[in-house]
Amino acid sequence: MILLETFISSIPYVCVTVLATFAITLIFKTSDTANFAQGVIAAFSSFIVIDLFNQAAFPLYLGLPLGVIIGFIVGSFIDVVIFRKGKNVYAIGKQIITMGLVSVFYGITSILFKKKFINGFSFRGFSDKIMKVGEISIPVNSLYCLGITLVVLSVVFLGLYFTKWGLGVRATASNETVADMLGVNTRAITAISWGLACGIAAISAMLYASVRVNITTLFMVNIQVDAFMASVLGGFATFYGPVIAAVLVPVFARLIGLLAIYPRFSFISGWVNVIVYVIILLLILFKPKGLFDKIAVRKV
Amino acid sequence: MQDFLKRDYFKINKPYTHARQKRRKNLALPNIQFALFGVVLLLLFIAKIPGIVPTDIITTLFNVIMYAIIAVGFCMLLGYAGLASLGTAGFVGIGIYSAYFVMERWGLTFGIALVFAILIAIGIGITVGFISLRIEGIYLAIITLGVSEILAFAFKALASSLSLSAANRKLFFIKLGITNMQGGIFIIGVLILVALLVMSSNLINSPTGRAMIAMKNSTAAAQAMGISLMKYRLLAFVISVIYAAIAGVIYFLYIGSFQATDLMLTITTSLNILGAVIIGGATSLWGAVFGVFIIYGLNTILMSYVPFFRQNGDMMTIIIGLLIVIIVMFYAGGFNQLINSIRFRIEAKKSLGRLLTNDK
Repeated sequence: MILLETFISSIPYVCVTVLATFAITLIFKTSDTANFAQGVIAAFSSFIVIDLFNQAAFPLYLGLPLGVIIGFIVGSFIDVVIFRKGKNVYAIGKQIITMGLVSVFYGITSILFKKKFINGFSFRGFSDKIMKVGEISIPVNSLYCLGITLVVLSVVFLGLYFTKWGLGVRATASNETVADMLGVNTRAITAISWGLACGIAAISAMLYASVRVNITTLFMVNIQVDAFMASVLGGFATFYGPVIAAVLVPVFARLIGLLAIYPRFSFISGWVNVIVYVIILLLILFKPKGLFDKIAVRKV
Repeated sequence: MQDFLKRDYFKINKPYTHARQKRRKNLALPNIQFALFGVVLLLLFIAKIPGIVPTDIITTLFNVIMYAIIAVGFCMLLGYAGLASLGTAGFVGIGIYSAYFVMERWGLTFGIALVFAILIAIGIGITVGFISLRIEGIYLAIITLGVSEILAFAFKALASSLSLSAANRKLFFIKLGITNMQGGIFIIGVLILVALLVMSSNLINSPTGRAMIAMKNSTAAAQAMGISLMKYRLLAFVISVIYAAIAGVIYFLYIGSFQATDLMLTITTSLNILGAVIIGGATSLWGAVFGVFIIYGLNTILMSYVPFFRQNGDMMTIIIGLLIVIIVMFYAGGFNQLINSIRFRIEAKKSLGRLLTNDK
């Protein structure tokens, strides 16, 4: 019973981590760089939507797409303007640029929203109701999160595996130079991937804001770190690997947190995250390329 | 005839007299430059006593010195091994907590605190480095981000509020008051900074440094020449962790108290150090020191004395971030490249001048 409740309470966090992880994977596979700025960009987009919702009762069925569009614009801007205009920007340079962008967006968000945070900034969520199925109570907000996540993931995965665009993305992810030679428009695909990834991250930020009580500028940092660890655990060889890992990580963290209820293990309560990350690092030690690794032979 | 030619040759090429040549050579030696830098810092510190230099400038200067130690280590990692790490904040925490446990909880001396911090830094550096560098260099940033979070959680759970009590405030077995302790730590900090600068500079100019440069330029060529990628990357990473831990030790001893929720242990520190090294030029040690001065020294001075920045402290964050982006995009050598190009232009003008003036 308590196990079921744990799973149900972890639904929103699983959804958020899954979306954030998928966004990271998409960017990593198409641009070969980790986007460290994703959390702050997502937070920035979500704050604008939440602010409109709080101040002007902007409806959420319009707000969600608006957040995605803001994230999309910022993401593709980063790829099209910043990466393309720079001279000789290699993979490590791109990573450093995203790290710099963390500072930029952190500052922008602070300037725009700091006063609002001090006065208490919260997002009521999609719904306040709680559904009762027998003895179990499920917050309707979690169902909204689950529904939105499933819709987004199905659309994107169907697109990846059944459309020409998806084929292009998978080709670019495999080898950008060869894909370019074969006629795939890698520039457009990379730009759209960046935009899509940041848009998905914006959705995840809004879902996370709906379950978080206090919202600050760095509220997505924990999710980001979880997403990074989950994607390294899942391995960048496939698209679905990190997503599966992203489901496992929050659930596992909750299960360990559950142990802390028993008085013998109560000392664990402060160390849950440490235990989870250390286990992930140990798993990576034994399987460096991730759990869902595809054996590929690289020719010199 | 031969004499005439000789005279013109001398005039154009202007060889230095023996004394001038020796002076030039000595000043150009990096170790002498670092030593002079240390002397200047100590003089500034001594000038605090008669009140020529205000005390808050000394605190800012100490912060610059402390962050410069971290930045020098990070410079070795980024500029010479080509790896970025976001775990700097956690590694500084290693130093802080080591100093707290050794000096406050166990009552031992500063030397043992330093050694303990270095040993822990080596242990964690080798473990983390080994796990992440086995995959690919680019994963180091991601994994160190996770490690920084692990360390931050672990520190919060270990001790959420640290302080150095008067009984344990001693350097080299002498109990000191707060101001004297700060003064002593300042001097020790300067000495450590100079020593680490000298060590890093020597390391860069040694076969190890050349192996790292080779590795950064082309991993395939370096491996073909027999350079083990794992070994040198691990070495660079462990060095950066050690430097950060040393800085943490002297930071804790200087301020005497610390909260686990302090900004120092968040990603802000890691990003600022990255910014400092990028701004100064990733391959230059002086650049790292300069970058730290820009970010921590100038920032504090601007925040205290310029009203615009005092009200909008976040503007500095945006500016630092923008500087990182713009420098990596357009001017990858940073401030170091700027100085070198100015120097090159001056030298070129001088040579041209010497060539053109042909007085008999």
